[in-house]
Amino acid sequence: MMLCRRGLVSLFRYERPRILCSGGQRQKHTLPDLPYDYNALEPVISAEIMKLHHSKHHAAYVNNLNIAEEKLKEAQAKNCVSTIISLGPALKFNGGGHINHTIFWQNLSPTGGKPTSELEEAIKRDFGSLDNLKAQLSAISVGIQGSGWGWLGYNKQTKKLQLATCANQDPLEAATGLVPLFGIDVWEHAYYLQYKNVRPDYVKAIFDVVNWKDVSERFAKASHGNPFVVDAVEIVFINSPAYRGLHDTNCNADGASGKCL
Amino acid sequence: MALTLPNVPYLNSGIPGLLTPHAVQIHVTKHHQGYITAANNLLKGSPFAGKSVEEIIKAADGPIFNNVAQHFNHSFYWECLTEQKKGISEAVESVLTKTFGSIKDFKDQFLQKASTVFGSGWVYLSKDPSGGLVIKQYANALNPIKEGGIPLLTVDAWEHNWYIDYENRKAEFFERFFDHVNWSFVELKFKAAGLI
Repeated sequence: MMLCRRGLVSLFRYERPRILCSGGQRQKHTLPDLPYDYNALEPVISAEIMKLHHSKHHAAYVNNLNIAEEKLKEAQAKNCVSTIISLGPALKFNGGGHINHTIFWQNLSPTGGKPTSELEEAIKRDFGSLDNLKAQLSAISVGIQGSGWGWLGYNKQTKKLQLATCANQDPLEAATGLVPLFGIDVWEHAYYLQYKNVRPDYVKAIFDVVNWKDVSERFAKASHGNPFVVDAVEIVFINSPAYRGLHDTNCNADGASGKCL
Repeated sequence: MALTLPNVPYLNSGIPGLLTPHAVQIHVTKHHQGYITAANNLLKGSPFAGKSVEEIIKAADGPIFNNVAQHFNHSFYWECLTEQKKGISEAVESVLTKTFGSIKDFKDQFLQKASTVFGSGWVYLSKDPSGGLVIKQYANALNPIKEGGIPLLTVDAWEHNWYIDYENRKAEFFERFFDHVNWSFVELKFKAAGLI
């Protein structure tokens, strides 16, 4: 029997977890429920992988993010700047892990449908075809050295779709300014029990369980949503070497066509 | 000369109490062999063809560096493990105690580094270019040779190293790793580095 709380999900309409900035009292982060059963993505991703990935790996990022935030709160209360700075890597790693996985679960579905006509048009404009997009995103994801993520993002500045890779758990938007639409987790824990060392087979198969409805919604929101959320000045700053040096991120988002250096 | 897999004495037996035969075989014959095959293909006709592994690690970058360095890292790692438990010699213990306080402190520091790698990589005990002993994390394929150090002991902190046998429980793997270190090999490295 699957252990994810499908019963609850069915009774109460599944709501997207809110982990992005919001006002109000700070609450501890919690592991979001999956919007489907652990075995829902079989045979592309086994129930065993999904269960470990969600209930162990994602849960560890959430727990460690809460711990890092507690330490941050204490350091702020004591006005200890040195400690605040030293917490940076743990906040980025665990916060990034929480953000990335939360998007990832929503990005996948056994019944993901097709891109909306609006997204399809943008894909044709920026990549030539959906097949080209898949081929390019697959190539950069397979090519990631070590652990990381391959991303389809939206560049609010150029108003184009753009591909990028991020090392480890570096979060795409904080690191590059791109709005994440669809991410492929190429950490070995995401595929190892099933695909072992053959990462290309996993990346190829994952396109069979893309939740295009979710990806299309993210695209619609990014391209029509509040255009003032991130303004041009902020994007220029985020993309500047000074910011990158400051935050020591390892994301590569060069070229609107997804060319990866 | 083409790079080849080293002899791994416990390839078929695994390391009882640490790694199953299946896990060792996949790691050696798929992952390590994969780096060797890729490295040999990349080296053909490149300026690095015929150079030593150490020379390539110091001078190359990109895919040639990644694949050749991973060949070195894995070859070194296989030597650091043994299916026969071996104690630390007095000479090695004395040097480690002098630097880290005690063997327990050394173990604690080494395991702390190993369990906190943000992503894939390696943890090495090495002699750094200034002559001191250091425990450091290295991302992905990096290692002490690249920065002029001398490797003395390593553990693989890529998930594929423990995932088949331990899944997400990496702390359990690292704890057990320490009981299966080939201290005879480490002692040879200490001697070669002029530490004892």
